[in-house]
Amino acid sequence: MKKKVRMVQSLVLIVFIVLFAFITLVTPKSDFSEAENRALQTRPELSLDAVKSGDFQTNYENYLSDQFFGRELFVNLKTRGSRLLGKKDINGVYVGKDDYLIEKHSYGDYDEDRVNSNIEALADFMNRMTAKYGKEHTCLMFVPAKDAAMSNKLPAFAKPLDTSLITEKMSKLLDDGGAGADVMLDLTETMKSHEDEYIYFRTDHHWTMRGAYYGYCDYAMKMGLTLHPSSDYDITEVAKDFYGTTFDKIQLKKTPDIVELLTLSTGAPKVKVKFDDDNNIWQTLYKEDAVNAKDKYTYFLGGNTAKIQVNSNTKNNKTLLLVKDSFSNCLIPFLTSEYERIYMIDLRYSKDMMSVTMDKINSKHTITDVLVCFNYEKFMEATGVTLLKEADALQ
Amino acid sequence: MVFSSLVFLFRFLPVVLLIYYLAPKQFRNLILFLSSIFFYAWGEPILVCLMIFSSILDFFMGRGIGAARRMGNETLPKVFLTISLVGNLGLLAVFKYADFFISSINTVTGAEIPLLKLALPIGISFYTFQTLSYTIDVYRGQVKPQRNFIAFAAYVTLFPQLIAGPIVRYKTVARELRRRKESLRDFSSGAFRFVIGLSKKVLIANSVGAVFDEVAAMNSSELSTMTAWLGVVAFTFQIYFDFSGYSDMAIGLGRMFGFHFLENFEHPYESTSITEFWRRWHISLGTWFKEYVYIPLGGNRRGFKRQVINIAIVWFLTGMWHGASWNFVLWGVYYGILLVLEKLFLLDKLEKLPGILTHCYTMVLVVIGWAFFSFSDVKFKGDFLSALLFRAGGGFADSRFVYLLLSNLVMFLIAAIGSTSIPMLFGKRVFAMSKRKRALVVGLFMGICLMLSLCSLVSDTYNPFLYFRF
Repeated sequence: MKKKVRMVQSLVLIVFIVLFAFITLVTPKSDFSEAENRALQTRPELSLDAVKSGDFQTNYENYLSDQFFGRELFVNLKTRGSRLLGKKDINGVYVGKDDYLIEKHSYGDYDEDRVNSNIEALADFMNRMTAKYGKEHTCLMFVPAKDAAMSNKLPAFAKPLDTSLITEKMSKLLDDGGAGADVMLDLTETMKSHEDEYIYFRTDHHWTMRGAYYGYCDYAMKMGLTLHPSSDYDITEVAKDFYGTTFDKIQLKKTPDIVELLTLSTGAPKVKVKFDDDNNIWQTLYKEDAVNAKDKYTYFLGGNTAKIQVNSNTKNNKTLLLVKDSFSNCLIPFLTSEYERIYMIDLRYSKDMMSVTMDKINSKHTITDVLVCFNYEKFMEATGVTLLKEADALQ
Repeated sequence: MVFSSLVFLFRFLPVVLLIYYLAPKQFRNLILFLSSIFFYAWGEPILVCLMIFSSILDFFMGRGIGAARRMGNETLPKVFLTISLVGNLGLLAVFKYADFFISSINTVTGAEIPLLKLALPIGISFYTFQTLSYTIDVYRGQVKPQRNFIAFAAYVTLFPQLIAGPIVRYKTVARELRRRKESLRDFSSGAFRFVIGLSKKVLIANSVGAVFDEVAAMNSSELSTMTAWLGVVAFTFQIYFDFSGYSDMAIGLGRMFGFHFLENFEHPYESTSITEFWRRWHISLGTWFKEYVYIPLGGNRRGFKRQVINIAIVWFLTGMWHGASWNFVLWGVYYGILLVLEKLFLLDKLEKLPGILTHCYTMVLVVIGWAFFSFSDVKFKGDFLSALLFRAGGGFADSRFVYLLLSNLVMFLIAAIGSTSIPMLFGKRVFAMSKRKRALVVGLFMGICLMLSLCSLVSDTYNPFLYFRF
């Protein structure tokens, strides 16, 4: 009879490893996860070089993990288990108040060298741009992440990442470099003052168009542009049941988000949008079929592209160079009524040095204004910021 | 490869178990040897050669010592042992300590000798000590030289304990290398032990480890004294559950293949003195140093003065063994001093105190010890130290401390209880149940542990092994 206990003990482990080995072998694989909105690791190619460098092994482990059958269910179970134990943050996400899921940021998550070189490259770029285009035409805008912008939604006693280290360092470099710290526009306080409004998505790390509106107000005031009061805008709901990237990390279903569109009631300017390496020309800033996709934030400009050019029927001959990340995608609609042309560069996807890009633009239309708009956290981890470095080669 | 990975659990282990048990007995050592090479090469595709080299070297040195002995030659065995010692310790010195010595020399003399920048081969400290135990014991005549290279290589490379211990001395498994009897009894207890170890690692060590990492990554301005100490306490639990979990998995896997390794941990955090702590913590390392360093130096048989020197040597080496960095040396010396003090007078005093006090005494010192130990992971060393010493930029306590404490309180409690023998008491109660009930309870328990571990493994990106680096 003792044998029975031993059989059970042995079989539990054997069945477990054999069953899941089998399942991971036979379940269908895919190269993109709709649920997590990211590319999945596919089975790596076996080669001597890949084995020697260890890439094969690492990729194979990622492949197993990415393609694991019922991944979302396991993540969800893990989240529930952690919640039972009283954890307030799981897999780097705070389960905050009012169904807000908020990404947790700490300096340990970032590569210190990259952060520093990004700050230096950007400060240097801003100094040169200010010298060239003048202070009234140059701006560096920092958008806070949700933890700092809506710290009232954080669990009790939790603190947002203190981004003042970045701001202080940047200010000093801007002061020393001649641009002056005041070309920098830190939106943290502005966003905080609206923390009770729907300025960030509950389940996604981006701001909403309402949030972007307040960013635009600050920018417009600083640059002396037309400032439309919020009553000038019509608000329409364009998508619902949106579960964004923050949700993906913990798979905990709470209230889903809606995507709202703000349009000038007097009529938004007509636009032509041209995407890099794509002959398609859009007559709109919005991707209508994104409302049925998983990532509904792609409603704004269809997601991330290296280079986008927007021409509007605002005839003032102003050409804006916008160096951006995905946060700017829902800021653009506010800018089209102020600039005849907007050239957008996402350095994470672009391969050209900034100077080359600017030469190309200038050969058609002379740049009149420069705006760099980054989310703090995206900026700290962004690759490609050093592409800004040699921009002084222009002309 | 690590045990707590999908590739080990759902690729390597089922395949190796299947081949091993299908194969006739005479091929089983070969299968273990080949699969261990695969296991190691998964993480060290190049430096696996070093390990194979060590195996070949010590195999032939062992044979040489045996042959010379048979011919009545007294000098040759010494020569062969020296070659083995120099070869193995030489590799260890070059790969693990060279840069440390070079940079220390550079700091002291102002010289600018370039660093070698060699990658540390995984588990080199573990397998070097293992194979040395072989040649030394052969030299001492305590074991017969192994005649079969495959059997010997299977011992050196044996994947269960290869990369993070326990340090299995050759004589422990000599007989089982030649002939061992795999049994349902061993397999079942091994399976249970493996599941326990996996859960300790994945469910507890990784959770509290994340707390330590978060604290270690904070910058000085936001660090309060209580946060810093909470981090060290988290590390205290992380290193125990990480390392003892690994040992559990190693011992369990060993049993599944018919080997019996000695225990490596005996609830060290229940100790009532530092002396006792070191009898219960990483037992295989303590035994190794005792047997191959402390006793050959004369141990306690040559007067107290000599004993103190011997203790100092052993603890300096113990510190160094953990890593090529001064904080490990400091940590070793710290324990050396405590142990001498206990031998001098403290132990007698402690015996008269109530258990709760001696337990607190021990844990406070152990946690302070881990503070030294963890420094290699702490970015802002100076600031972290001043935070620990009540001179924190963030004051005595702040909201971050409260947050971390509240959010992880239950996990800390589980870890605290889990590091005592209380879970064993529950085990005994289960043992007293009827067979039917017992099968149900144990089966369910293992199933739940495995599923929870799987949930964590699939969803976590954080899964380090601390003792890998040693």
